[in-house]
Amino acid sequence: MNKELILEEAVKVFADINSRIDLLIECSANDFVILNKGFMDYNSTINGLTLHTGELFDELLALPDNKLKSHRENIRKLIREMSEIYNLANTVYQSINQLVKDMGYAFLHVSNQKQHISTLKLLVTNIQLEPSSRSLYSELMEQINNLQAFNQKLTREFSGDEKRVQSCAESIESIRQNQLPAVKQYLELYDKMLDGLSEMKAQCLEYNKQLKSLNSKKSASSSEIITNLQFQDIIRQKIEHVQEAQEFLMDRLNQQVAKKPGDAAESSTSVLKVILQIRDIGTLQAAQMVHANEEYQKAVENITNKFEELDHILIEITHLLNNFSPSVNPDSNYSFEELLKTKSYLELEFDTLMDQCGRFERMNADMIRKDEILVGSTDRLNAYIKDCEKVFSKIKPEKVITSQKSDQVNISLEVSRNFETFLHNTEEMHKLLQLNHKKIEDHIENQLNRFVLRKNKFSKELKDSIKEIENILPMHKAKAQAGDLQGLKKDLRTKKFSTNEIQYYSVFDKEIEEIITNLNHLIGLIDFSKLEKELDLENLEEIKSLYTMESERKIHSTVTGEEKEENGTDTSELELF
Amino acid sequence: MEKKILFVDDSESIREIVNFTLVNEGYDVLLSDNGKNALTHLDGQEINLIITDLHMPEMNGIELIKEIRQMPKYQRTPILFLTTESQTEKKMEAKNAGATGWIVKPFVPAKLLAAITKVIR
Repeated sequence: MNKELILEEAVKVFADINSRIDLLIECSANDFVILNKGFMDYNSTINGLTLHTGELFDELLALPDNKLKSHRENIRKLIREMSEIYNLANTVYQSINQLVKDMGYAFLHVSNQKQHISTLKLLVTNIQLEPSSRSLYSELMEQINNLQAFNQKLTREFSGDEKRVQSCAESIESIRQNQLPAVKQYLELYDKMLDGLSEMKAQCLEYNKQLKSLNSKKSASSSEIITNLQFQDIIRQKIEHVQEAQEFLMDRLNQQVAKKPGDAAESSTSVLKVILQIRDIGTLQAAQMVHANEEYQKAVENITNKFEELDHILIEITHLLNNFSPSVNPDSNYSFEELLKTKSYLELEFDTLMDQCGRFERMNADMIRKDEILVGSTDRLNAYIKDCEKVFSKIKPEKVITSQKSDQVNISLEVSRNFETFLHNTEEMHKLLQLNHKKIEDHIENQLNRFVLRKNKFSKELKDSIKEIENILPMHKAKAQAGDLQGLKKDLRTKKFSTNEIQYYSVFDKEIEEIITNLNHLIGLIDFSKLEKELDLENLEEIKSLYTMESERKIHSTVTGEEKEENGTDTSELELF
Repeated sequence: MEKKILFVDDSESIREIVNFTLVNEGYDVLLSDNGKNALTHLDGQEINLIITDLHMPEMNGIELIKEIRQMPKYQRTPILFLTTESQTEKKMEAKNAGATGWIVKPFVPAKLLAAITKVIR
């Protein structure tokens, strides 16, 4: 190819390279933004996760073993004592059930009295009286009616008393069947959670070591990433140096192209000189670009490899955290959240039990108070009957015909017997009611009070123990962590860095290859048989002054074959003056 | 109290990286993109260390140091170069201008922090 055409082609090639270099700088800047953001994301997520996990471990490790142990022993003791309370509740239940039966039996007597009064009224109606006794008859009927009314009132009171005992029986049945088993169930679950807490605390030392080791790995990876991220700026500078060298050459080329035809021999020499410069600088530029590309590729690969490491670290820390979450790790029987929930449920169920017991105690007190009134009422019933009897004794039946005489005598006798039976029945009823009352007193004095005392002792022990553990359990932080961790775990799903985001492989590498091909094409146009075989060092000396980095000077020496003079080193060690 | 470091570099990426490294270590960092702008931070406030690049537009690192050393308040403030440059002549020029030390990019965070601790003491 003739020299002028080579010059023209060189102008085109260098213009093209120049625009590609701009693209390379833009690409490396964009990649830096993406890689830096990826790093910052990893860094903040890992830091957040490490901080939370570390705090969790530290809090667990700070739990005083002796207090945790004594709390667990208390809870286990309370679980054992639950059977004792349950047995006492059973005794109370049986005692009340017996009262229900006894009340039923006593109620039969009250029903009998009703029957006796009806019979009495019928008998009295059939008696024929002398006119002088007729006013007494009215008096008697009034007394009987009063007796009947009082008996009805007594029946209602008795029925109410029976219902109260029945309600007490239902109440203790509910305590026995529902509240006590629920409290026991939550006590056992709480004990299991405390067991998990102790196990987790024991494992925490190991987990903490793992966390520290992961944190060291993270620091090492981060350090590598920071070091390699700087290559964006280093490569930019190297590319700019190539661009500057090219601008220097372009100036020469343009001067040559712009020269007016003059002395043919002189012109030919200067064109040849520029062509030689194209060859020499082109060769050097290609070598610098190859090296810069290798260096940048290595940096990008290092960064993406370190991102992979950070990804693994993130997963490892998440695994450590998952040990605290039974919903994620089925082998784990411990979580702060679950422990706190169980403790709350236990307290709630226990409060319900205490409320129910309180109501039961008040029902018992009410039962004995009303029963006392009932027992007292039998005396009044007796008084009513005696009043009736007194009036009846004054009544004289009318003289009747013989055939009816015996009937009238019989009726009178029957009425008298009825009074006796009634009195006897009332006496029996009084005895029964007294007996029942005594039984209720015994029941309250013994079974109920023993149950209440035991239950109160249990309540105090449980509340004291929970209060003590609340002072040492990191409840508030644990709650906050539960919320924060949800957010962090959600973040993790979007953290994974994708190498597709960076442009190095699609743009940078391709453009460098294109530049080198173009430079080689340009060099290929030159007929080397007519030129000096050796590179002209003079052509490259000016370019050398553009370099600021030791690695650039090294490439320069390699290309030119010069003996490399030691003039500084690329090391990040501090050199103090 | 946090130690204050003024960092001067025309590369945004390097400023971000250095800022991240120093802030993470608990330093209070002032950033500037060239020597001329850096001088506006030197308004009498306490600055424990200045780290600067060498090649920058407007005013380069050597020129910046010369200006700083003229200021009585900052005559004894340690100044480190953090640059890709590694030529002995440049280092000598920096030393003569009043620089305290020289670190070549890319820096390793631990080494940079160790160097800072050493000169800031």
